[in-house]
Amino acid sequence: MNTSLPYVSMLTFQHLYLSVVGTLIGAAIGFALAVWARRRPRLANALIGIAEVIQTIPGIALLAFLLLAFGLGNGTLVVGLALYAILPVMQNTYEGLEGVDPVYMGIGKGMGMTRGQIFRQVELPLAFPVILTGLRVALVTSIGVATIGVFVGADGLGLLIYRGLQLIDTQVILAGAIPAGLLAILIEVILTLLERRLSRAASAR
Amino acid sequence: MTRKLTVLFLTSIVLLAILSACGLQPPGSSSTSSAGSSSSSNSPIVVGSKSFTENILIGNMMYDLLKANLKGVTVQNKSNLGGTMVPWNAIQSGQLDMYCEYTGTGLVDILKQPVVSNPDAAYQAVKDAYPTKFKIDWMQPLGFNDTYAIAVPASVAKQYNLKTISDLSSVASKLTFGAEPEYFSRPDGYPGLLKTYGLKFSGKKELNVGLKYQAVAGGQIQVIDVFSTDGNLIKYNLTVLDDDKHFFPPYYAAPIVREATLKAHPEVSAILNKMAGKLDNTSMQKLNYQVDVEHKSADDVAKQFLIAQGLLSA
Repeated sequence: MNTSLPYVSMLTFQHLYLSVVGTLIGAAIGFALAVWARRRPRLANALIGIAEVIQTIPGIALLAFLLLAFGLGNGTLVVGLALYAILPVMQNTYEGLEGVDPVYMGIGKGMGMTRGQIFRQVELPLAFPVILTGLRVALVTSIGVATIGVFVGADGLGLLIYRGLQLIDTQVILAGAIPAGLLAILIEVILTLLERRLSRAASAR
Repeated sequence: MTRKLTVLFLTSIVLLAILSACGLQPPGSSSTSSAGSSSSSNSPIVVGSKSFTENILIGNMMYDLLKANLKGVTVQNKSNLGGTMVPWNAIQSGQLDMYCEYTGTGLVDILKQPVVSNPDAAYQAVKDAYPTKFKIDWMQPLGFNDTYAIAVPASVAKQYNLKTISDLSSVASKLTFGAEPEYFSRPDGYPGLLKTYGLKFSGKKELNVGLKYQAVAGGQIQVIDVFSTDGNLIKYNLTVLDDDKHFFPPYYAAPIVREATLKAHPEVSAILNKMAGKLDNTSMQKLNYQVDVEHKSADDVAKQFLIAQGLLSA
């Protein structure tokens, strides 16, 4: 197996790309579900419950199920990543929105804002840091799950790790495992810094 | 400031989701050739391979030859997919167009027919049955017979004076058997072996191919199944036991291709048959050795072989 820098870089980029796409699709679904479930606590509980069940299924088992349904390929991996991204984003969006002090909504109403305007200009910005935390958790998890993607014929660093294990070739294993680890750490650090920036900006308003 | 970010955030989610729905092809994906996007009018031809070096090498060769000789078609190489059942299921569902199969596996494992010892008869049997049963055709054999074999460390062979598999019957209770998971569920594998030779091992272990050789070298297991063209056979001092009861069928390697693919691209047959008879046991084992022991890249080894054979321009 090739462990040259261009090849490893390409696999790293593929890995990040698939993780991001899967996370964003799941995040969009999670976000939409959370907004739908606002002020409907029973619905919220039910949705979060379902998402928690999905979350508990071990990655390789979930991917194996999806393989039976969708066959091999990047698409199958992305479906799995999206499913795992739903819970963190949905839960954080829901809690973020619920956690907005009603005082602000009252102020917006008093200023003559419509419900939609209040949502977009008051609640969402205030809840944003919490939502971003959910997104961060989802993305970092995706990077991890994407390494198993090799078993459903997907691209990414998992290719190197798996091949390295078959050959018991340390160089190949590390060429896959180290970038994967670094990628996860990097995303975690960048998004945490972004969160802090935004919550400082939000509280400064 | 945060409002702008919010809008940007939501917009990029929507945009990326739409983009990704247009075909999940990360830029520079190793599995596509440079010829255009995969969602074009020409559906790609997908080559697959099982999860061991030899099959990956042949898959790479098939990929290289098709890429070089097929005009205007995208070729993808999905290598290292898993045990036989993974590419087999994928080719039946149309997710793969072809991969390299072995006549014995086709005969005993897939068609579930009894062992036929004559190599030509075995090839003919699968060549006749696959089109009618599965709408899949066998190309011409590549030349080598990569049969399952049973091996023990040379020291163990000496200790118990083992030359044939039958010799194992008296000492099997003292020995542990190891093989990759697939071996334990095949009729031409562990169950059949025990039955035909009347063997009873003290224990068995399921190990992946790479770990198998290390475990036998470390003394954790004493008897393993091997592929007769394994590169690792050269490196580890193992004695291959003679299959005196002719339990194993011949396993001649040849590409199998979906008839639908051949219909859409009739040239595929001639391109793949360029490899017919080009690889005997010794040369296949040498190539395997380069990857498994010398840790050369399977992509390079496959390419170099084709170039040396004059089948690919450098």
